[in-house]
Amino acid sequence: MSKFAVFNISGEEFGIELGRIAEIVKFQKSTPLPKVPAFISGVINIRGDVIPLVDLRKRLGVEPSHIQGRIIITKIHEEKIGLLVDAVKEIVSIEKESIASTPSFFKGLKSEYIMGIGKVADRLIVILNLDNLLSSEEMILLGEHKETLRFKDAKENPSQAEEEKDKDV
Amino acid sequence: MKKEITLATKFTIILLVIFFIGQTLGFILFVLSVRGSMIDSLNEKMNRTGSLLARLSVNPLLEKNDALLNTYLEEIMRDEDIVSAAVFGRDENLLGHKSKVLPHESSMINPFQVEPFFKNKTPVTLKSEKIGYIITTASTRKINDEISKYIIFGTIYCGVLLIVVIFLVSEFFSKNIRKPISDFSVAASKVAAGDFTVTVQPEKNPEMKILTDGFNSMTSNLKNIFQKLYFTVNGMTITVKQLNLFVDRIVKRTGKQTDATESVISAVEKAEDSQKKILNNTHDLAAFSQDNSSSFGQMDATTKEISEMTKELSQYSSEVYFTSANILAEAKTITKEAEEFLKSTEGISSSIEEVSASIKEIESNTKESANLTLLVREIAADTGMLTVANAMGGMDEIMESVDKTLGLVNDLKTRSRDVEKVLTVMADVTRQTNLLSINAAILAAQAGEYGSGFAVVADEIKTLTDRTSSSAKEIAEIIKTIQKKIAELSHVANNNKVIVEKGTALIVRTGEGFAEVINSAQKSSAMAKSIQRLIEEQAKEILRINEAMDVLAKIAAHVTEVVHNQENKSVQLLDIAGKFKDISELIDISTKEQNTESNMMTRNLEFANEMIKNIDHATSEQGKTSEEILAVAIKAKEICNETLAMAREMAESFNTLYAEAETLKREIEGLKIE
Repeated sequence: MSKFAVFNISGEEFGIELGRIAEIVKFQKSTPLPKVPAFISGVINIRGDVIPLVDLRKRLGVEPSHIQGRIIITKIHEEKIGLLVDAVKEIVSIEKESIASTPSFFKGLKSEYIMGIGKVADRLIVILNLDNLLSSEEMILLGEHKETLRFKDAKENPSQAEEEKDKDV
Repeated sequence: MKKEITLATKFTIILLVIFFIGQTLGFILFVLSVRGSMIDSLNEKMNRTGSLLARLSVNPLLEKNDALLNTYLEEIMRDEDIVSAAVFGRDENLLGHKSKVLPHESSMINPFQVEPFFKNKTPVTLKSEKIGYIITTASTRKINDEISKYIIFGTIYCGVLLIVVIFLVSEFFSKNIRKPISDFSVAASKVAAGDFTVTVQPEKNPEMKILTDGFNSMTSNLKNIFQKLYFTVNGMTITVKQLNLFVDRIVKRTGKQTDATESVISAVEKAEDSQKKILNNTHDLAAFSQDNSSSFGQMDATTKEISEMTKELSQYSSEVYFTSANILAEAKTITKEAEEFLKSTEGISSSIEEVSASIKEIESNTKESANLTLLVREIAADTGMLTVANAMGGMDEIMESVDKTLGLVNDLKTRSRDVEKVLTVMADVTRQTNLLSINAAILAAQAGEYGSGFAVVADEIKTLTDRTSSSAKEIAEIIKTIQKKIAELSHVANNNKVIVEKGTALIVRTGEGFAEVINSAQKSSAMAKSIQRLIEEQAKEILRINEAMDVLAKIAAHVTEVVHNQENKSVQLLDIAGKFKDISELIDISTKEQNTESNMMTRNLEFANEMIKNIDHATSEQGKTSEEILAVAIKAKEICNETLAMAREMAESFNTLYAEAETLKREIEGLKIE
């Protein structure tokens, strides 16, 4: 019995284990990064923390949209990564037994991103495998960018972090 | 399309030649490239084999182990392309040699022949010291065979392809171009032969379709034109026939006319002759009668004198009689007229009485109408205008209340919009709370056992936000319906306003109408008054006329009496005059008889004389006229002759026209147009 946050991407329901989620925040504009894969929108500033933002639509190969949904801040390999989704709906509890193992290909998604298919009543919730969402090379790339940005941010705009904090409060 | 080379054939041949050249060039290029690649691979193989052998044979060369060297050579000779291999030592001495003979190569004519053998020399080195070298020879027989095969198969393939292409192109031409065009030419030749009923089946091909459509419409147009022409020519031949008949008739008539004018001319000439004779005779006669008349004149003068004397006497007596008779007649007419005058005065006075009676009636009517107009004026001025003013006031009030309603409705609209704003804020809050509850649930889950209580609270918040959002949605819907109703209400209020404005305008117009009524009533009452005055004056005048008529009647009666007395006296006078007149008349009649006889004689003679003169004059006039007639007749004859010539010419040209029309008709009949 474990709990999952259920969110929407183009009408499909996906789940992420609650334990992997730091928080859920409203949509905010990201600062674009140079020389990164297309599915990384950029970085966002959460209370002074610079966090890379992954557009899940692009990563999962769903056609992109301009919905300003929610950002789920997750922990992947001890790094905070923001996932842009259409909407967060609710929190559901799913029995371990009712999580089916991953079929080789589910609704056009690569099996490596899927941990399993959870069944709640008639609904099928695709449970994401966060660890496989980013390859280790991509993690390293993001890490490098993050360092430079943090440095640049502190140098150019030291008050911005404070401002962000004030806004959130 | 039988013996000469058609455009399609030329096109096909050019196409095929281009295709053939292209194919041949492609084939040559292909063979050359295959040949080059094969030579390259053989060379590489030789190099590899040579270097392998060189590496292997370092040890045997040092140890001079010929047996091992030979086994290596044999191993290499297993390759079917290598014909011979030899190993030479440091001093150019042959240490080992193997060779084999390949079966005789095929004697194909091959323009791409490669030289029969490739030689390869590879040095054997040990620590960059040359200790010997190896020579390998390879045969190119396999390459040549392969190229020969390509030539054979390639030629067959190209030939087959060419045949297929020729077949396809000729098929395409015969199907898409030759058939339609031959159909077309058959149809065209039919049309040329005069059959306009031909149509060409429309092709699927758009270019051909344009052509066939054009052809079909052309033939149908031609058909129509020829039909029309046929009808016209038919009509024309009939008309020409009729004209011809008509002209024939004209010719005949003119001939007759000419004959008639000729006979007229001869008759006139004869008449002239006889007139001349008559003229001579009358001249003689005139002289004779003048003599006669002068002798008669003397006798007549004496009888005239006697007659005049008696005439005077008779005249006097008859004058007396006539005067008295006239007096009597005059008296009678005067009485008659006086009586008539009396009668007419009576008629006039009765009609005057009638007039005065009707004037009285008119007077009473005008008085009544004046009263009525006054009444109308009063009603219009007092009641009507008052009512209009009242209605205007009422309308203004209605307008005011409608305006108020509109203002209220607009206020309601803005208020409902405010509520909407509140709702959006509420929705925003709900969304935020929802996010909060989810985050709370996440925190609770991460806290594990300790967070279970907190999780319950988070759940509660979640259900609360769900309920809030649903009720907010409901409120939004309710507000939407309210807004819709308000919009309807505002529409209705606006309509009311328009209606009220229309009503006000109507009332204003009614007021104007009333004012007009009052104005015209005033005018008519003034008119009625003046009419009344005039009529009163007229009545007075008529009374005066009536009095005058009475006096006149009395005078007329008196005159009649006096005339009656005079009449009696003139009757007595007439009796006396009548007796005297009878005696004088008897005398007069006898003289008169004598006088009249002689008078008659003289008059007859004078008359005869005059007649003769007249005859003379008339005959000479007639002579002149007959001369004129003759001139005119001659002219008429000339004109007739001209007409005849023209008519004949016309007839001839009509005949030719008719003949030509007939030929045209026959030609058109020869065409097939139905």
